[in-house]
Amino acid sequence: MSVQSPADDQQTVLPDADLVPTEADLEAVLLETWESYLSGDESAVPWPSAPGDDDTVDWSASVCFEGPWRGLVALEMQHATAESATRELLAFEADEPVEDEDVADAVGELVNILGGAVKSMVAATSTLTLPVVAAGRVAIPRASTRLCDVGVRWQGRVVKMHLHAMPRGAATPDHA
Amino acid sequence: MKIIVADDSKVMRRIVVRTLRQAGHGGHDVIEAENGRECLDLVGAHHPDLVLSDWNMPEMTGIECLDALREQGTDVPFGFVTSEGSAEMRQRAEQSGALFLIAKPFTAETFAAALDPVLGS
Repeated sequence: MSVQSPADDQQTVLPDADLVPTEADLEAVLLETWESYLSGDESAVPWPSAPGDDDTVDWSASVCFEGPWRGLVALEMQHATAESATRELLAFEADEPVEDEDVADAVGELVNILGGAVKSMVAATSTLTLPVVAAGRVAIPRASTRLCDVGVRWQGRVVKMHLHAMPRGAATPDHA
Repeated sequence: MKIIVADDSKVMRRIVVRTLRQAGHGGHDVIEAENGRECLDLVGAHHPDLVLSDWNMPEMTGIECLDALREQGTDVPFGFVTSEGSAEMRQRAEQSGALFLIAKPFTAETFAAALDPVLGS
């Protein structure tokens, strides 16, 4: 659970546009990550948000980076997607049970890879936090500003990635 | 040959081992470590031919582990496999004595290019 700190009320100073990855950049990172580790029988395809999409979020993860500006990358997916990704990443047998701990590890590592790639687009001097994983939606600080959303469709379900700008002083205990 | 793979994520350790195999280095003994501290201990105990380490890990980071190894006078070949692919991180890794830094996401070809000179192709 995220706890609001007084600093969360600070206003986010939006980064210069040339320091923010574009929607196309983020989509490419998401597709490349899926292609590298989760190609399996079916490749992920770009999937812009659309009315009628199933927005259920059973698993999510976030990671923060600190550089010329402070950002947060979040990844959201349904349970079936998270379980399938976990099976593939851990090379589980079909009848091998997937524990929540395995799913958390997989979803956390995926957002870690995505966050690292986004961070490297922002500046050479950024640093990255360890990932935070939630069964459900990760808490995003109230004062953050959502900059960009992208999605891909994989195995019939949508995986979403969000990029937020965070106030400098904002820190949840999870991302301290 | 003996390789220590250090990463706090079991998923990433599994991916690294799989990619080693795809890069033509599947025949080596692999020892897994969950953080830099454990890696440091395992290097002392097993004297590996190569360490492949994540950068950000709890307990002890990969770069702290590398610095500690060099302070001990251990010159085991050491490479990073990490999300920290920035120029600054690469420079920091090189200054500490790392042979290479492989940024995630990576491919078997990237692994082969970095590892062949160390392990032989």
